[in-house]
Amino acid sequence: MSMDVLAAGILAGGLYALVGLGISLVFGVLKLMNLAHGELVMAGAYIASLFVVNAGWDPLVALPFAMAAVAVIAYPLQRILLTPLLRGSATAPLVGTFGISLVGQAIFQAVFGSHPKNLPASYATEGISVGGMRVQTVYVISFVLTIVLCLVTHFVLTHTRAGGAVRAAAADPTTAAILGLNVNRIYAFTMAGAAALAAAGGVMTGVAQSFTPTSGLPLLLTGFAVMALAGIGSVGGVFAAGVALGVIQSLSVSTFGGGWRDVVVYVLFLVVLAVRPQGLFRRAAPA
Amino acid sequence: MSKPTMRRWFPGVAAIALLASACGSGSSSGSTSDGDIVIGASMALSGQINLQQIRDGYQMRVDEVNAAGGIKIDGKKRKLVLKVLDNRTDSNTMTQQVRTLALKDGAVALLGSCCQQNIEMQAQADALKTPLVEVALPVELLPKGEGYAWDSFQALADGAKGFYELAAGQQTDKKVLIVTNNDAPGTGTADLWTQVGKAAGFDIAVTKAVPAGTTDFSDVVSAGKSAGADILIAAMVPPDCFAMWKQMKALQYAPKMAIGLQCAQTPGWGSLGTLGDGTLVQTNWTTTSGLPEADKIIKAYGEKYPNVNDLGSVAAGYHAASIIIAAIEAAGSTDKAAINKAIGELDISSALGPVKFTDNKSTTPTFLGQWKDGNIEQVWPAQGAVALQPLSGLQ
Repeated sequence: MSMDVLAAGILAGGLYALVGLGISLVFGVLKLMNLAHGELVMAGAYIASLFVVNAGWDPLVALPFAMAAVAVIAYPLQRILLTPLLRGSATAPLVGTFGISLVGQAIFQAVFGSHPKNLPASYATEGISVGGMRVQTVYVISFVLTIVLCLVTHFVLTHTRAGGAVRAAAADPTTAAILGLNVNRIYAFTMAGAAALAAAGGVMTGVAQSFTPTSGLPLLLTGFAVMALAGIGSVGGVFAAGVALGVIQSLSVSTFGGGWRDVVVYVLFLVVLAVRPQGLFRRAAPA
Repeated sequence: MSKPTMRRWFPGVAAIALLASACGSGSSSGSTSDGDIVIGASMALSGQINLQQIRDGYQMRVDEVNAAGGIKIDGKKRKLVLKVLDNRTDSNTMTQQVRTLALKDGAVALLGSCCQQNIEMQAQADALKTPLVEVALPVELLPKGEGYAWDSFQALADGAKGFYELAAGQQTDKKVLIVTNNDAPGTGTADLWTQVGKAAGFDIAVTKAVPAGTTDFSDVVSAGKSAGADILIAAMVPPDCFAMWKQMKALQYAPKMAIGLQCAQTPGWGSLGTLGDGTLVQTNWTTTSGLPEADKIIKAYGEKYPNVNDLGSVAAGYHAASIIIAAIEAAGSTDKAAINKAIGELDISSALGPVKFTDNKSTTPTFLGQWKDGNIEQVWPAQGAVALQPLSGLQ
């Protein structure tokens, strides 16, 4: 396997980590498998396209606006629709997010059409030569962006009062509520934060690849794989799992051919779940 | 209402309902013996695919016939009703809808959807003994059935022959990289283009198959560069080609000719801007093709659909509807068996070209187009073509 292929896998893994981080955050705090996460990623891409394609902005300039817009959409979705469902049966929130996913796809198709779109940028088609390896500039940018967002997320969760409240609500929402924390608001802000991270992933996906109304599902599956490999509650673990997934994909393609890519990845995924169900980067809970 | 009262009238209501449903169910001669003639279509209009252009083509032809008073059967003009249902790109929904159209709505004939759905719809048409006319399915892909599904579209092999004929006139090393999705259509395309390429004297240097949804093509690009392949044939879903083209440019792999089968045919390819320029596509229609009804279709839909692919889809829909309408007129009847027989005996010309079926297939002309400044210009065959341009987007 050439070093170019390995480098591409590492850099692609950064984007996987960005998608997985939001899913991990929501599952860790709300105990909710957000089946609409892929559509939040796509929402970021589509909203960014309004700035990039219609107004001529650079995608990186549009990125914070897209993140903010998707966060603003996600907050009331969680607060008004999903939080009440969380109090009901275990399946109701899952079905609710699935419904949001379908509605999201329908809205994207109705507003933007079904043809593939992409976010044009000069760095989408440029490469950098580093130590004899040639890599795509856009993936270097997304890798750096992922590191920054992971660091910010980790800092907020571990060094701020808001992060402390999030961790308290994640650990024991009942006690947190008794102690005066507004758990419903914490849930909504967590979902908004995860949505913003998803939107960032969507913008970079739109620059590096393309997007359609139904592009969210494959990204959702990738995000779940990253979350499962990483374990819950470790931002660094999510980053490492994303990179590991990218490398595994590149290795499997190089060794076995493209047709075996998904087989190898998901077999390893199942093996990890069987051997270390808590994920690669979390210690098992004491018996 | 009390329970004893309900028990008295319920059987009567149920009997009336059963009688009404029996009268309303499809018969082999259409919904009524001298009323409107129903033509049905279960199409993907939402979900992964949106075939609104093909639907517009169907409706355009039906509206033309109705504006002229309808179809004459037994001395009486009868209007056509096109009943289109959205199956949301779901095969189970498509199956149910086709049955509803044929059995409940009285459709005397069916129009197809696209691609894999057309393959799946064939079995339903055979089971329901209802003629089905399809476009948007290369004729090689129509499975052998019981004779109720008819396919009038281009042949994949014609596109391959045209491409290699064009490539033979270019300054290349005749080395080819073929990359396809690893599903049945993809591997079939790889086999066909390999066979035709070798027969034309080209060296198929590398063949790669990748799962749909692949975003990292570094392995493919590396193989292409190592082999020095000047010619690229890509047959993948559009998102895969988008990712691959960007990666090729970034990793400095610059073939001299490239064709994006399926992937570069989407109007969205224009959003790649200059990166997409010079990429070739196989298409069933162009504005300069000289095909019948081209001017009429451009006049009616040129503003709504500025892209050649979309207009080609309108033409395809118009073509299929024309076949069914011609068959009903030739049969002089709304009997499904008579219409089916008439389709097999047609010898006409419509929006995609000549129609004459052999083994339920009628091959229409193929064209090769090239992307330039957000649109597609015909480059093969020579009639109506402009000169082939360099693959500027990847240089």
